[in-house]
Amino acid sequence: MYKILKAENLCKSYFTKKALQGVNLEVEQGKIVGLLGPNGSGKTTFLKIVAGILHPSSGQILIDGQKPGVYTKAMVSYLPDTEYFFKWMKIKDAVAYFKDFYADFDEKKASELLEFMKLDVNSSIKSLSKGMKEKLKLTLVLSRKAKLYVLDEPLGGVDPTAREKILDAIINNFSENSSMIITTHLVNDIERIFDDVAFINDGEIVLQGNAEELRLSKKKSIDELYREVFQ
Amino acid sequence: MLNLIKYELRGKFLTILGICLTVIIGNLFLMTQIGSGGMGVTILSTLLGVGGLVVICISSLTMMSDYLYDDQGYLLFTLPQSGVSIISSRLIAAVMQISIVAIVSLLMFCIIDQGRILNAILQVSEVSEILLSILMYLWTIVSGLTFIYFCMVVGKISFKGKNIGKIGSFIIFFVFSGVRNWLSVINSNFFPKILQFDSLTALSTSFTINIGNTIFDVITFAILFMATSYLLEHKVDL
Repeated sequence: MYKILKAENLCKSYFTKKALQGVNLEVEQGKIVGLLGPNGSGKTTFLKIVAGILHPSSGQILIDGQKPGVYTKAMVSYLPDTEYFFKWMKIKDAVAYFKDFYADFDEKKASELLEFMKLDVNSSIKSLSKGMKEKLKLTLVLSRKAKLYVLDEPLGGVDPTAREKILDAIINNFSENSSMIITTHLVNDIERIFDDVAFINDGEIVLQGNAEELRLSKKKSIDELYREVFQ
Repeated sequence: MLNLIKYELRGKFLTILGICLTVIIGNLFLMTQIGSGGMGVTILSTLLGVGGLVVICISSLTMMSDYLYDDQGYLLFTLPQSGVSIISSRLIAAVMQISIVAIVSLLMFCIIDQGRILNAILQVSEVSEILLSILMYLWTIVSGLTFIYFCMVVGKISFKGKNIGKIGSFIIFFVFSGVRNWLSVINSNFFPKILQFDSLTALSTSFTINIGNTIFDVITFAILFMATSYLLEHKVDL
């Protein structure tokens, strides 16, 4: 099967601190990969490199055969864990922004998702709650017909009801022609959607494989396995 | 790139509007003082315009700083846009923003001054000199901002942390300014040939251009522009 992402011996250092230490990871087309680890394990660093806003110190990463850059940014849909909208924006401005810059943005899908998330296009973004902002970000990211979706903590800071809604949106809008990497430490809520998982600790992948095979071989859920690995 | 310019201008719309309104209201107030103020009114009008230009220039620089150090950078740098597009759009948007404030300030000044100084300048200047002045105005903004953006980007890459990065950028700016001026002096000693424009001497402002330094400035600008574009695309970490 075609591998949309290949990372080989990927390292990232910030002066003296090593955030990634030789990460090897492959993502196949049509798969949802869970990148799981505690805070500070290197999950966000890895995703930022995939998104092209962080540059590796050594090693190689190829997305659709290309190093992260203008080409890969056009096909990677990235959900950061920050509130990145301009202060002056209303929801409709954010939708227009994505439509203007991403050729793969589907406005109709965005309207459907906004309705599903119960978001009003005329609302000012700065007036939204954290959970609503998270829903808006996800709406914009999932409204692109991207080859690779990269979601950094999509469930972070949202209540359990909103989590279900976000998970439903992810599942309903995922296409088999695309792939997805999701980082989280709320494993129990999300493990049902993973095809593959990779456990990362101190910048190294300590365990990876097919989620179902790991469950069967270890006789544990991914959540239990997570607790065992990181306790 | 047009979309980038559009959003740059949209983001600064309220700032531009606020500055223009301040300049207009300030000048309207000065008009009520024309009888009692004498030359002081035109000087205050000039100061108001200069103040507006300083504020819009600083505002343009803080926007770049926000992209480099704040979360808004995630919105810009995840776009499928090259470093050249990003820098070009920043410069074009800055020129437009500064020009809007400059035009409003100039218009208000002309109203207060009843067009006397502008008429005097136009009467002793040829069209080519006016065009050259406009070119110099654009060049000053574009080359100045490119130099500052370069220092900001180098500071971001070289120093860890928001505050240290910003202070580092200031230090880099002063060091590079010194180096550039030193090279400029050496260059003008090696290539002393100058071009002189005589007709403006009617206003006691002789206007000369050192050819060697002009070539040096153009080459420096090209290098800094390409270097900033490259660093933004390949080296800046958010």
